[in-house]
Parts: sequence; structure tokens; C-alpha cells
Amino acid sequence: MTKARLKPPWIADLILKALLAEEEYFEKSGDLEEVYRCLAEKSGIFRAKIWYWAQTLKAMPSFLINSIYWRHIMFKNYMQIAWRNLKRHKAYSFINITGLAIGLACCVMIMLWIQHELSYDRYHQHADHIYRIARDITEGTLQGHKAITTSPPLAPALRDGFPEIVEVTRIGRRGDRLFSYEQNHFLERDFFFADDSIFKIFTFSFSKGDKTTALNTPNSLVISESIAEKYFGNEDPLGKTIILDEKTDFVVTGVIKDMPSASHFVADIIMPFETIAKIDGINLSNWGWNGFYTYILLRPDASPDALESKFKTMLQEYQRQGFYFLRRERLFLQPLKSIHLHSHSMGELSSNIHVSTLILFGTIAFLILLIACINYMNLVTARSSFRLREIGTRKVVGAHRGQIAKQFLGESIFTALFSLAISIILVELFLPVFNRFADRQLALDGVSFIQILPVILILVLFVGLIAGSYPAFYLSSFNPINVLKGTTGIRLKRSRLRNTLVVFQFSISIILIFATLQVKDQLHFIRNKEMGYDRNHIVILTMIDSEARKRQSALKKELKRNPEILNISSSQFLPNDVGSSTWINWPTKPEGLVIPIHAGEVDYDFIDLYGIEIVQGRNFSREFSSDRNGAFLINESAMKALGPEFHLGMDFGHWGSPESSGKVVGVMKDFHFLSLHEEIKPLYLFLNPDVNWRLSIKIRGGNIRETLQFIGQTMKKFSPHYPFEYRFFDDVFNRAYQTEQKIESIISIFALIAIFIACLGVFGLAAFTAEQKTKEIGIRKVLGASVSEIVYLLTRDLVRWVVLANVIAWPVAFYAMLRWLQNFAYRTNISAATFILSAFLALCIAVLTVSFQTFKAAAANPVDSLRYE
Amino acid sequence: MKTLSRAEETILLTILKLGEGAYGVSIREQISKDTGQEWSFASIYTPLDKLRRKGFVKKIKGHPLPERGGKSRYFYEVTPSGIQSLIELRESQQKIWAGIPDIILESNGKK
Repeated sequence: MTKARLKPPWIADLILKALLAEEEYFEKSGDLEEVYRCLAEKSGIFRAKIWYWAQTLKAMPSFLINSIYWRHIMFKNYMQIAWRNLKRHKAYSFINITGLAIGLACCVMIMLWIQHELSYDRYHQHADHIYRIARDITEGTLQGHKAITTSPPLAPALRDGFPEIVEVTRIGRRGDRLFSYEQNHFLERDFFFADDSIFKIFTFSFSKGDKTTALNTPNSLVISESIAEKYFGNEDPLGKTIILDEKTDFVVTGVIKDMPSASHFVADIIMPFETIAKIDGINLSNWGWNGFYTYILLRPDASPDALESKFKTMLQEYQRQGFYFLRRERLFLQPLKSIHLHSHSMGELSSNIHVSTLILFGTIAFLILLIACINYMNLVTARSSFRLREIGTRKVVGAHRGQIAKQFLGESIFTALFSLAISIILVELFLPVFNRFADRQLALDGVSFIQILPVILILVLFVGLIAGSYPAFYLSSFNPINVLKGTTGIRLKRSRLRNTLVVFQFSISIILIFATLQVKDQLHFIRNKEMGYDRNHIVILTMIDSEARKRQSALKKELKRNPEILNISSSQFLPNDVGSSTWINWPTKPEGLVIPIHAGEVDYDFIDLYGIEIVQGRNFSREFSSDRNGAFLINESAMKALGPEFHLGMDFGHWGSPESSGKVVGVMKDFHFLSLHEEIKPLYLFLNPDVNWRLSIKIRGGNIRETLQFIGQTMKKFSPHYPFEYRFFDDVFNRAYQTEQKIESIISIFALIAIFIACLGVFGLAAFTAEQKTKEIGIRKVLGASVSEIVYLLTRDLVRWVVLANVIAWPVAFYAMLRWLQNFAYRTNISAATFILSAFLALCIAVLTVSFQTFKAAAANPVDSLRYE
Repeated sequence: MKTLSRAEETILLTILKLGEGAYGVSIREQISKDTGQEWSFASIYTPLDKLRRKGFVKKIKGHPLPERGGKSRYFYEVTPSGIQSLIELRESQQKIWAGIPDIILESNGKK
């Protein structure tokens, strides 16, 4: 029998080890092992093992009670000491707990947010098997352009062609239409229309009506509970009639519970797809009309990859049927659960979020917590001299190093738990503010709390361990003899680690300050950038009423009677966002030349009203009757892209048509018709005065209120039932940079919090240093040092740390902001001023924080500090 | 006076009987032999611990031994106060037993 096999069962041994104190363990396990070996020789290893286990299990109750009893006694003692220390040093406890509480509150809030973002669309029963069909477009310079909108005939083709697809639905979204019930008129910002299979694919809970038949019949309507209440109050909505645009009747056939906010689309009104297609004149068999969203429910055992590869042959078939443009398209599947985090194309149904944003804010929250942990570490180790006697005494009466370390770890976990309680209150208080920034409705309710509770506890444990580990390691290493001889025996050397940590804290703060300054700078740049068009005193109306739209010229005439109104123009797009895009084409286009181009419908006055410059040729003009249906203005970028092919008066195909639809009459100076994230691309404008929805009214800056009133009254005359709503173009323009503005405010808040917590720590350390050096200062003053010399002595180190922190922070911040700025095609440079300002701010804040302590110490009368000697 | 339980008394006497070689394993073996019953380790450790806390026995660390996986034996020694308590126990028992008619003991003993 080999020696190794004579080892007793290790699990039982482990149990003994866990239950017993060290010495007890050696004795008892030794006894057991001795007999065990004897038994193993005599009656075999198996019997011996059973015996060993039996003995261990029989002994367990008494061992257990014993160990719990002693642990309880010691635990009570540790808690008592921890609590007494908290109470005795109120200022330091305040610094520690405030810092940790704020840090934890940031983390909890960000965690709630991340949890919300990750939960998008997961509530659907078939969430794992639902996919959205998206397109990948490749032609010429356009490589792998992702588009999420698809055409109406795709859905039937998928349903008929692929048995693994269980259900298909088309979903469309329209907006700004008038819905009326009896005398009540509502302008709905958006409504949805879909095939009835939408209820089979997605999980909707119907509170009234039958989901299998709700959208079966034409002119039926499904509404959410909140819409039902808005229109019908307490009446039963089923069977009621709602009129769309004062023309078409719809009968309510179902009421659904409001969709959870964690959905990538939230539909309050759903109508049958084909009814709306008929009203809006949507050609259901046009493969080029990509204005809709197609979702499929895949059979659970089918492979999405295999399906994707089969799409190609399907598209080729329709290509042969005349839809030649399908050759540049490839279809792919977007899993439903990935849409919110990973799909970022034009025309998303709600604003999706980048994973990198989640990571960024998660990291910042975590760093803030780390700064707070560092405060705890620094203050506890710095002030360890106050606990030396305690540690010494504990060691003398028999505590070994592990126990002291455990005590201090326990203390830091205790502090962390205490901070957690406070942080929960902070979260409750500040969640509404956070919601406003993040544009979410997060709440710290029971369900979400329980969901993040494990993570919070891990976080608290982490804080306790990180913050407590160094103190535990450091304090338990003291030699009891030196300690008890008096503090003179042990030299509390100026901890290099402590300084390093302060430098680290300040580096993080400086990076955040730097980022705030840079984001501000970029936003300022955007606000003041010469866009190439006028933004001031322009009122924007949206003409929803189709009747009023048809009488546009009369409306314009009526409005122009007011001398305050300088000019009026109608257009489909505003000059800061021309969304439609197509390809340049004309009869003699060389094969292989592919130029994507944006297109916008305007009227005769658009160029004048927005002050867009014409650099070649002429503007649209009423004097040329041929302009009405055959004139195009292109911008300089389009001219450049055309190169030698361009000449004024060249033929031009509308919407990429290969036949000529008219002539290019002029070239506009480039203006930023997309956000500054993107470079100026080719663009052409054409006349289509009578169908445009947007009315831009240039007013004199004089009496704005009265002018608006006049516009309102005039509008009422033309469309009496439609509510009058207006916006200023400047606001519309600024809304496009809302994300950046939000990022600016969130980062500046985080920067403030970070620097605040870092300063709390520095404040604590300064107070401690001043306390330690009371006598030194007294002696120096007696020997003739001035107040300013002593202030210098006390702040010298801090200034050194902050300067060092700057040196570390600068390259990191510089690199990070460089990356961020690359999101913009037009951006500021990172100027030296940002570096200097961030350094200066950090230094000022740090010095200001300690100044109170320093001056108090420096100005103290030396008699007071020295007289007890 | 601190009283002794039945198990404590047995263990104290066994330690005395074993003299210098009294440690967990030998104590258990001796008791099992004397009483004719198998005693588990748990049933001797608990009284031993109590005796130690009452100050009736002393624990002495021996040398590490290979047959114990390199762990030391811990020997037990009865302290003077332990001996004192045994003497007191015997006296009080004698007092209790005194006056019980021999006949009862004998007749029951024969059965």
C-alpha cells in the first residue's frame, strides 16, 4: 500500500480544518489520522475511510457549536470596535462613507441603466427566434451600406418561399396624422401599420379583443390602453370608430396593454398594413419601395445562417423579373435581441444605443468607486497610528496575523455595507435626474433591485476587499513589541503607495475634466460653425392636413400680407437633414461610374430663404416655365464627383432614372445638409412645390409673439381641425446634437463627482498631516518661520502629486478625446488651452481643498502646540 | 466546587491510569477497553475540552510524527486541581453510597 493512499479523505479533512482553530485541528486530525492508518492496514482502506467520515460527522455538531460560539464573540467585538471607531472619528468616517456612498450610488444607477438597456425586447416569448430582415447594399464607392428598411413584396416572397419561416410581418410607421373621435381631434406623432401576423410573432397582451382576428379585417384598429383612455375615457373602446385625417373610418377591434419601454419599437396604434397601403398609395409589389420593416419568426430548429445563404437565389429571381437594382443588395438577418445594442442604421424605430456607450459609463462609474476606495485605503493606513495599541494588544493576547487582517477586512466590508444603505437613498433621490439625461424611466423597484442585488453585493464585497486589503495587510504586519513600546518604536514611513494612489485619483479626475472641456469645445464649434445656410428667425410648420397642403399658394399669399413675414418656402426636408438618397444617372453616363447622391424637394423660394449661395448658373425661377418639371440644382460636391462629366445644362435623371428628366441649371455652394458627424456629400434639389410638408417662414425679429399669433390664426383658417404647432429652426438644428449635449452634461457631472471624492480624500490626508506635524510647525514658528513658509511646506507635496497626475492623465485624455472627435467629420483641434486649463483647474481645486487645514495649522499659536511638551 | 460529569470522571481516571502516554488515541482505546463499548472521538473531545477549560487537565505538545501525517501528538496531564476534584468526587460518592443495604446490591448483582 503506497503512502499516498494512506491519506485520509481530503474533504473530511477540509471540514475539520474549517471548523477548528489551528492547534485544535492539528491535534484532532492527527489523532484521527493515526487511528485511520492503523485501521487501513488492518481492515482495508475502504472501511477506514468510512470510519474516518463517521468520526468526523459525529464530532461535527460539537465542533460547530464551539466554533460558532467563539466566532460570534469575536465578531461582536470587531463590530463594536468598528462602530466605536466610526463614531470617534466623525470627520474621517464622514469622508469615507460619503465617498463610498456616492461611488456606489453612481455604480447602482449605471447598473440599473445597463440592466435596462440589456433587457430590450427580451420579454417576447419567441425572442430567440425573431429576426428582422435587413439589407446590405454594395455598389461603386458604397461598400456594405446597411439598411434596415425593406420593401412590401419581400414579406409574401419569404412566406411562400421558405418553409422554415413560421410567420412574417411587415411593419410600417407613419406620423403626424390627425385622428378624430366624435368632436375630439388628436395629432398622433406616430402610428404603426402591420400584417395581422404581428401578434403571432411578437408577444402582445390583449386586454380587450381577440388577437387572432384583431387585424384581419380592413379598417380595423388596435390601440393601447393609454390611447384608449385618451380617446374614450371610461367608455368601452371596442367597436368605436376613429377617423383618420377626417376621411377614413377605423373600428377599434382590440386593446393591448402598453408595450414595455424596453422595446425597440413601442406601438400605441396599429392598423392593417393593406388598408394604410391603399390610403397612402403604397405599391405593394414594388421591390424598390424600401420604407418598411420586415420581421420573421423562424422555426426553432432552423439555422439562420442557412436561411441567409438562400436569400441570394430568391433575389436573383426577382432581378430577372425586372427589378434590376436588386443585384446590389444582399439580405441578412438581425436577431431581435441584438437590435437595440447593435443596429445603428438610418430610420431605426427608436434610438438604439452603442455598446461602447454602456462600457464608457460603466467604466466611469467604476473609476469613481475606485477613487472612493482609495480614500478609504489612504485614510485608514495613514491613521493607523491610532490603532497601534489595539493591534499590539490583540497580538499579545494571542491574535495571529490572519485574525487582525480579517478584522480590518471585516471593518471595511462593514463600512461598505453602511455606505450601500446610504447610496440606495441617494439613488432614490437622483434617479429622476438621471432619467432625464438618459431619456429613460428607470426605477429602483423591488424587481429591478432583486435583479441587480447579486451584482451590488459583489460590488460591496469588492469594495470591502479592495479598500480593506491594503490596510489589513499593512496593519497586521506590525510587530507587537515595537508597537507596545510606544509609537516611537515604529516609524510610520511616508507611504509611497499612498502617494501613488493620490496621483492615480487625480489622474482620473483630470481625464474627466479634460473630457468635459473638450466636449464643450466641440459643441461650441458646432453651434458656431458656418453651416452654409441661415438659421435665425425661421419658423417651421409641418403641414399635416393634405387639403391645406394643396392650397399652399393661397396660404402663402395670405401669410405674406403680414409685413413681419419676409419670406415663405415649402420643402420636404429642412436644410440640416436631407434624408432621401439615390444615385446620379443620366442618358450618357459612362458604365461603372457610381455616385450616390442625396435628393430634396423644395420650392422656388427655398434657396433665397435659407440664404444658400449659388456659385454657378442660376437659382430656380418662375420665369422659366420649364423649371417646374425639369430643373435641378446640384451642390459643389456633386460637381466635383462628376468631374469632367459635368457641364451646366447637362441632362439629369430624377431618382436615378437613366432617362433625362431635365437639366442642371445651377450649382450651389456646399452647405451642411447632414449633421457635422458626416462630410458634405453630393446633393441635388428639385422643384415640387405643391406636395411639400414643411413650411419655413422667415420672420423679422421684431414682434415675434404677435407674428406667431398671426401665423396661427391664418393656419386655423386653412385647416381648422389641426392643432397649430410650430418650432424654430434653430431649435430643430440644436436637437440634432442632443446626444452630444447629454454626453457633455453627464461627463461633467461625473467629473465633478470624481474630483469631489478625490478632494475629500486629500482633505482627510491634509488634516492628518497637519495633525501629525503640529509640533514640527510649532517649532518652526518659534524659530522664525512665516505662515507662508509653513503653508508652502504643507502644500508642496500635494502640488507635486497633482502635477505628476497631469503628466499621466494628459496622454490618456488626449488619445481618448482624439478618438471621440473622430466621430465628427468637422471638428476642433485639441488645443493647448485644454491641457493648461485642466491642469490649472485640478491644481486650484486641490490646493483650495487643503488650504483651510493648512492655514489653520500654519496660523496656530506655537504656544498651544508646544506647551504640553 | 466544580462538579464532574460521568464522562469527565472516566476520562480523568483514564489519563491518570495511562500516565505519560495519555493522548487522544490512547485515551479512547483505554476507555473502550475498560467499558467494553466503542467510544467515538467526539465523545471524548467534548469532555476533554471542558476539563481543559476548568483547569483539570493540561495539554502538552509532543513532536510531529510521520504516522500522523506530520502532526504532533498532544498529551494530557491531570493537574493538581484535577486530582483534588477526583478525590472530592470519590468522597461524596462514598457518602451517597453509605447506608445502602448490602442485600439489595448483592441480589441485583447476581442477576
